[in-house]
Amino acid sequence: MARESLLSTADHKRLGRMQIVLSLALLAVAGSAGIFIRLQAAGGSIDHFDAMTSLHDALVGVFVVIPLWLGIATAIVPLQLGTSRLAFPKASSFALALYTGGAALVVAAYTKTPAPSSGRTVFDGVPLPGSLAKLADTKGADLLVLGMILGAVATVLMTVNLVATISARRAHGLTIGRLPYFSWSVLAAGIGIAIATPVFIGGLALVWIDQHFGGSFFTSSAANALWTHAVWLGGRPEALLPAAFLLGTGSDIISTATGKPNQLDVVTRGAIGAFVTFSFLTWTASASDAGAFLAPFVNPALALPALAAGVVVLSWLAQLRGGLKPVPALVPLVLALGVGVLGLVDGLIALTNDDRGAIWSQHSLTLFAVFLPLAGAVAALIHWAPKLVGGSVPLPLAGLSSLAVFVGSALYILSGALLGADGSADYAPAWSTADGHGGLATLGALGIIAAAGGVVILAVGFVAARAKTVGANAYGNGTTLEWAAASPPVPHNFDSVPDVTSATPLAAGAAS
Amino acid sequence: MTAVASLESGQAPARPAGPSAVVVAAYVAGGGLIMASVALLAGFYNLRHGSAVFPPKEVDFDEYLSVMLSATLLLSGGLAAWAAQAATAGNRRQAIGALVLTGVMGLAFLNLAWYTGSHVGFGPSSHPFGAVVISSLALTAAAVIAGIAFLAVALLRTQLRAEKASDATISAAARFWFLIIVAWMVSPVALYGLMSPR
Repeated sequence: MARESLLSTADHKRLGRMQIVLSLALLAVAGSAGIFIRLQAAGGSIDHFDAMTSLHDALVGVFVVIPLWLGIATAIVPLQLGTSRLAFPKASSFALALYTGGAALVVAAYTKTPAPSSGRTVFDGVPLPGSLAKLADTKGADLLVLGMILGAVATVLMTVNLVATISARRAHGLTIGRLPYFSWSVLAAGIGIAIATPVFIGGLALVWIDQHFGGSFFTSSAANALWTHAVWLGGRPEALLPAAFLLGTGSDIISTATGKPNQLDVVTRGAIGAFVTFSFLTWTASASDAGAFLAPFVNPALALPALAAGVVVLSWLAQLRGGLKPVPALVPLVLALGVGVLGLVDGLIALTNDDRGAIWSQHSLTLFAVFLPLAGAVAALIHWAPKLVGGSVPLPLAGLSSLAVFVGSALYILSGALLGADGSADYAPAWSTADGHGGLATLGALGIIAAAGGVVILAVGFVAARAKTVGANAYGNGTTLEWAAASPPVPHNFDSVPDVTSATPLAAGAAS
Repeated sequence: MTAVASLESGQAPARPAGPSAVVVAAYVAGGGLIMASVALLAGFYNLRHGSAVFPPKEVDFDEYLSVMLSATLLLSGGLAAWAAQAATAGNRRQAIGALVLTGVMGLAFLNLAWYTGSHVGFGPSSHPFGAVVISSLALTAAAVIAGIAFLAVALLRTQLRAEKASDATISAAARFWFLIIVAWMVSPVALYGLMSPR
């Protein structure tokens, strides 16, 4: 079989790998912008703060976090389902092209003068993309808005394809109730993303109308309040939904480590589903109070998804009672949970400090929306490395990469917490180098650098993994169908698919 | 051999049983459309809540147009249901006829939406109320255009390939059409017409 070109391939594994690599490359660009912002703040000069913040938020919000997880899902989910391909292979190929084009347009927007600088986004009076409406009608602004529209449309295409694949292309016997937990989380969160993202696309379209057809949607105070309430219908769920992927991944890692059926299977699935549902309910916090949007991101409604996540973690602990076999992703999983705990602690501090909550909750939001999904993605990539590159990541590199991401998260949140404790209620432009805030800004930059170092170490781990080939069931304890496929899988994934009569078809004693 | 077909080669398992992927995709895409409509509605009600005078004094938006738009789409829903029913019953000829009529009703909706947009006396730049109303019309019009394209694909697959009328594409197109109607019925413009205090 002739090797297909990158643009025409229908192989979900290649599409997934390309998506992962592109997302991480754009994370490097966004991370560089984050470092730049803090180093400028540390030096007391914030010349390009608005432009760098816009670039950072546009990339992280649309092109990095969710696409990274969708790339992992595109590569792994069909293997977990026992199928040879996605439901619409060409749709994902097309989506990848849209995603690449959109990212290129966003980056190209910053080659124009003046660079689009919409200022703060999450805490802006009018959140992204509304904040873009105040941009001058320049080529840079056009490229930014158009690029984000393409990226968001690509996200919808990818998630719809994954949901359709899970619904329609499962192996015989693999009912919805028997789905591996990661696929289950992709189904639940995918539906959430697919119905939340159009709200965001609608907002971008309104920006376009305002800028090119004389619209006034974002130019009056009433419309500002209007969009404030509307945008979070998409924005709040999307900030939380990547954590659902982590819950699914963690559940699969624990199942692989124990090698046994989960006695609390229904509880685990129910809690992951509840997490996704509750992530939408957090919107009510801003819908019920016109001023709530400008208040901290963290609000009492966040307790609901946090509670659901806690139930999932408790179900993991219950499984561990029966003993476990160490797998490389266990340490990264624990450290990812540690990142989540840091965010919760910071969020609780923010909740109890109304006057200085903004800086804490801003850092907490970034931790939940960026660092936590990144730490989870590191765990997922390590866990499924045999299916991605054919070998397992050496244990020291696996531990070191996740430790670096954890340390980076801790430094980042610490800088925010100390800034808040020191009385800084606003963000970088208001930091005073005279008050020692410059040092804390540098600390935050070091946090981002450490996390980026973790990703680099992971890349080295993947290079090493290619030389360390393993068998189909790489860790010996895998119970779900992806562990029946060769490492790396053949183009059509399976020569034969084991009979599926339970949620753990490869577990000892299960029919095979 | 195409790229997709090559993945189905070898001894890969046969396509598993389950709901049609295209039907699931139609449901998810329709869900997103409804969500976007609900977001506009949330903004609309917030706008009303925060405005001393609502709608703005100069607005004379005839709810008759909004009711007619709703009636047109609701009628098209009956035709889409007919197409789906005929497809399920294996009646290819009726399915094709119902698909064509559904598409014609969709075009009628687009025509009326265009008329409404050009005769309401305000535009997206007039005031936030205008921006929401025109956005809502534009969103539904875009969805109807997508729906008509979907119907056309179903029609072509049934007509040109002479596939059996129970082809899942017809069912998916009909379901997507139903979701367009739901999205419209929860849109600010439809509810404004139905609940106007006048």
